[in-house]
Amino acid sequence: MFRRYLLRRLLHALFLLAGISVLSFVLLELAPGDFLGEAKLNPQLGPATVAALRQQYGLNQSLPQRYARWLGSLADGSMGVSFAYNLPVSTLLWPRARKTLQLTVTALLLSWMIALPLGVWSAAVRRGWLDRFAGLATSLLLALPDLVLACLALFVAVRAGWFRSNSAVLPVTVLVLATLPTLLRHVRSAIFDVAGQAHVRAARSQGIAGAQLWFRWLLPAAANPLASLFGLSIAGLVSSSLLVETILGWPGLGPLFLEAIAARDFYLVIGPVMLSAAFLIGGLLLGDLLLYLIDPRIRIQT
Amino acid sequence: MKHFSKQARFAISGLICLHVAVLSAGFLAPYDPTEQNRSSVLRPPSTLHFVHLRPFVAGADGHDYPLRFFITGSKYRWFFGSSSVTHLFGVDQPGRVFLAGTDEFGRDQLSRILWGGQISLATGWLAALLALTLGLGWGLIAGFFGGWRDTVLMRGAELFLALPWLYLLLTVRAFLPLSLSPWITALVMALVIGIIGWPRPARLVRGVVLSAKERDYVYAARGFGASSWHLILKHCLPQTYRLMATQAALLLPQFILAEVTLSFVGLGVGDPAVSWGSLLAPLRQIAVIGSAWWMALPVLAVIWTTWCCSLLEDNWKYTGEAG
Amino acid sequence: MRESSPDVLLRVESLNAAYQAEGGHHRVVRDWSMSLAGGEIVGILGESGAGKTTSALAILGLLTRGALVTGSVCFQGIELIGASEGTLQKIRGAQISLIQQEPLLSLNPVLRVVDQVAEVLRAHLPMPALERKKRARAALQQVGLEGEAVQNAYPHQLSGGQRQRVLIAQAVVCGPSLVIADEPTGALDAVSTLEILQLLRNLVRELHASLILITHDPRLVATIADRVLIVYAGSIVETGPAREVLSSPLHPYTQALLRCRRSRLQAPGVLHERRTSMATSDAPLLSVRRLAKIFYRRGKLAAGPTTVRALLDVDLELRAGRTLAVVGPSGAGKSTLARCIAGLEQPDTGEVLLDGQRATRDAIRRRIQVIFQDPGSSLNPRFTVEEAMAEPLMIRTKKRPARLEIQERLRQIGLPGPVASRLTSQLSGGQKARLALARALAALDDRGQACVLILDESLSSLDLLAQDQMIKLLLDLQQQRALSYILIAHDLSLVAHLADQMLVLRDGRAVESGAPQALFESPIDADWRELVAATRALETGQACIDV
Repeated sequence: MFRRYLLRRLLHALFLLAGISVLSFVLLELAPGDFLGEAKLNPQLGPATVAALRQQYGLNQSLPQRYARWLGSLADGSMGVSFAYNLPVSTLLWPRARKTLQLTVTALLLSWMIALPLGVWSAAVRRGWLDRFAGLATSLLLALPDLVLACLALFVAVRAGWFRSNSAVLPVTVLVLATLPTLLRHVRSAIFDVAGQAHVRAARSQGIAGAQLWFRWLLPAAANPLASLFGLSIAGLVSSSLLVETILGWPGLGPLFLEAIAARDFYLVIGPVMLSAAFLIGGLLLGDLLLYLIDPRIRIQT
Repeated sequence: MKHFSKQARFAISGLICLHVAVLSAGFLAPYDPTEQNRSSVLRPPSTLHFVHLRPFVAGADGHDYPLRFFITGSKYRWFFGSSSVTHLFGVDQPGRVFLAGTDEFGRDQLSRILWGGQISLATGWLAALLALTLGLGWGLIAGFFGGWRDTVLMRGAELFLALPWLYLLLTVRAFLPLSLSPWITALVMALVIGIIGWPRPARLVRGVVLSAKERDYVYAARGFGASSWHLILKHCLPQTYRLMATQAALLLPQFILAEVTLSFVGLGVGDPAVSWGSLLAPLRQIAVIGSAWWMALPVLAVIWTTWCCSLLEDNWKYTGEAG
Repeated sequence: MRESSPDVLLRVESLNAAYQAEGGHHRVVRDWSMSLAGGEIVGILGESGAGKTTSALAILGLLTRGALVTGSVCFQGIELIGASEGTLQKIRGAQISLIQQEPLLSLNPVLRVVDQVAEVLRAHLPMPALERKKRARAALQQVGLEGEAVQNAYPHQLSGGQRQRVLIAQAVVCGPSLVIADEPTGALDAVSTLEILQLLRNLVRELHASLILITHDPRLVATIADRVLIVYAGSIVETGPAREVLSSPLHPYTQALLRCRRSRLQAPGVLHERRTSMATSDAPLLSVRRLAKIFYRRGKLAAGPTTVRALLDVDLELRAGRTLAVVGPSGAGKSTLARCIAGLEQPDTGEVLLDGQRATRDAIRRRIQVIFQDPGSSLNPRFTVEEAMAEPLMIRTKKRPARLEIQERLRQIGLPGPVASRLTSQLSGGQKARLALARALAALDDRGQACVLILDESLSSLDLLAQDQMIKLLLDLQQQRALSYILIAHDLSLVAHLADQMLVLRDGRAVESGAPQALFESPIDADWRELVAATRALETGQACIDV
């Protein structure tokens, strides 16, 4: 039963990825101009050479043809060719992707490891000083968008002389600070909602309390909203990482992506888009699977 | 106003002040935002010293220039068309007052912050309006009628939401010409942001409509022979009001931020137009922060906006509302 | 009588519970004083909202933080009001159990039923896990849930009655001295109601425990209670041995309450006899022939993976000015029948004839209207009474109705002038029901043609007094306008004395039909016989005779 569910979700994920790839291709196709038009090529190159280059890069083929070619390049692992670098896209992407994954996975784990216990604790013990402090800090951080946070962090780091361009500490800290407040809020409100539900009240009336109440009643009931929150948090994290990498100079997918957009380097634009989508969809899949394991109602239905 | 909580009132006042200031940018700003001063490049903010409670600015030539109010300066146009030359404050020539410093071309940052707000806020508002209207419309139809309309909504929304929003935004923006006139660019940005942003409110509206549709009073009205439009407009739509309000408070800052981000990475408005994002763009070079810290001041405007909006979103307690 | 130990188990003195509300404190429980001996069964009888549930919650310290509770509740020498959470937690479920309303919502959806019972054990009695599971299974067997399949099921896979039994199992598994049952027989039919009552009584006897039964239905109290407390608007208005209070009530409220009940099952079909003398046309107003409808459910609930619900081969005839009662257990197809007749669903086979002819959907709508189970929920809470009244008129006539007409219609159902500008959510249950009735009438075409009003369980959710008012109103209207009614209910006593004809449905089939008198005195179908017997037993309180 689990295998069937897993298979269905995987297929669904693949469909999504395919849809995104088509969408991206179509969108970029509509862009006026291409690499050879925008690039600051050597003005001595005559139109004949440019035409020949066009031919070589396959820029004069139709959209379906190019899409097919690109799909083929996925099979052999190159994911197309970057015109600006004259290298297969994959060679440029993987090292960058690794760097981005380093950041995002660490930030994801850290923020959940802080938000979950803190959210649960603050929902359980509603009047402590820590709760008030957390609330205040949350509101403050919420008012600072990630762009601003990154700039401020950079500002502080540079002025204080801490800044090291190859250390992940600053980018991860900024990412965690960017995602933590909303996450904390949502965890807390999910727990509150659950605590007011009828079956939790019934359990309390039967004398069930403490850890037993938490682990058998509250957390499983909160699993549903928390699982979907997991997916959302990944989405926000990936977007934030783009900005953070750009501002703090972290050599991840973000700066490469921006460069490729400015240069209209077609396949180098598609690459990061697909990778980030794959990461996000993978995260959503994980959330779905977790939910499957926790909530028997979903198991029965599928 | 008295129906809102204290914090909500504060937030609303803050936002109103911001908008008034930005709309009267011409009046409040001492200089034209594009006016360059080659002799005052990268100056830190001017210090005001007070003599007998009157503010003075020290000039480059050693003289002290008093701060004057309602001074005649460069010409500007109000939002609604008429032009004027009166500015709120300034100093006589050849003195200069740069309350927020200058950039690498000697342009007054304060004026640029005020004027830049126009594009940033306008884009945000337009995008929010677009996203909310689209979202409401399609969510109502998809939720109520179901069928293929619903499938299109859900699949489309899923596709849009499966991409991290910034990647999606940049990709879509990338397919438009990179250099356009500033107001067209702003319009295009608003369009793009709005189109990217509609799935979220649409899905929420759909959810509300789905449950509203199942209510007994809708069945009762159906039994009386009500048309679908009657059911949608009289019974489903009012259920979405609260949702729309919170979504507005949520989306507005997000969309303003989207514009700021776009301009920050160079895909939004560029010279000679100003937006908060393009003002922050120089910060991409790390060296700038070290040497010219005042270039980060536009950040305060952004923080003010997002803070007020987030206060509003939290404290949207309208006590006058009925069950 | 049963023997009861003389020592007092629970003593309540001057219990008050109030909620914070807009205009200060809203007192829900006013000055309750009572005492309960071991082994006693006490019924707390009153209408909904009278403070019964709140009192139970207050005793166990389960009210929300905004509530103010004063007074004294002494349980086996321990003072409960103001006791620490730790003390209370040990008592809840182990010494005092509360069986709450709404079984589906009160059970944990992610735990198997046997595990849920085991969890209650785990909270109070230390023992190894295997032993716990054994005891949990034993408790489930005691309440009649036998077999691994049922015991290992999840709550959403069980029926309403089964879930109620799970709650009961949870309540008794730790061997409490006091069980508080809050409306344990909610929407159950007479047979199940009797079974649950007997189950509760037997369990409590085995445990030598006491039972407090909270209900709005005097029949339950008559069946198993030793003593009864009558509650009205938060205060206890009368108390005494159940038999005495119910047969000769002293307080005017109690008298009014019992009067409603008494007149019902006296003589089924009594009104029918009074009416057959009225002249009517021969041709039936409404005929239904061989109606059939099949639903395919992708099952998560009730029986098995795919549940097929059907109406099969149902015939009925209704004349103008007459009342037809359709009864049967839940799931029998009564609501489906109602919807098919009213044109809200398309039957798969068969036909619905109005005045002997097939009618268009518009025609049906103008002459047949349905009022559903919870009349209050058919009103949009954001509408004012006036807007709600205007809606069907506007839909039918396609123009704004005159203010005077609206006010006149409102006045006819007993909602005078000032009520018109209130929100519908601010009305009482009875007022909402009357408004729903007025709306249905407004949607009917009043050009003199005979019309049919279908009331699908519309009276079941109302309090006794409100039910009475509705019935009077319905009878008046029937006289004035020669309306025909189709009353759908699972509560026999409610409709028996109103009906001219009865139709009994089970599993989509009509198993009995005819005049009520005949159906009650010589029933043919076995299940129907059981239902009639159970209803009679409940009505007369005979069930507690057997020991």
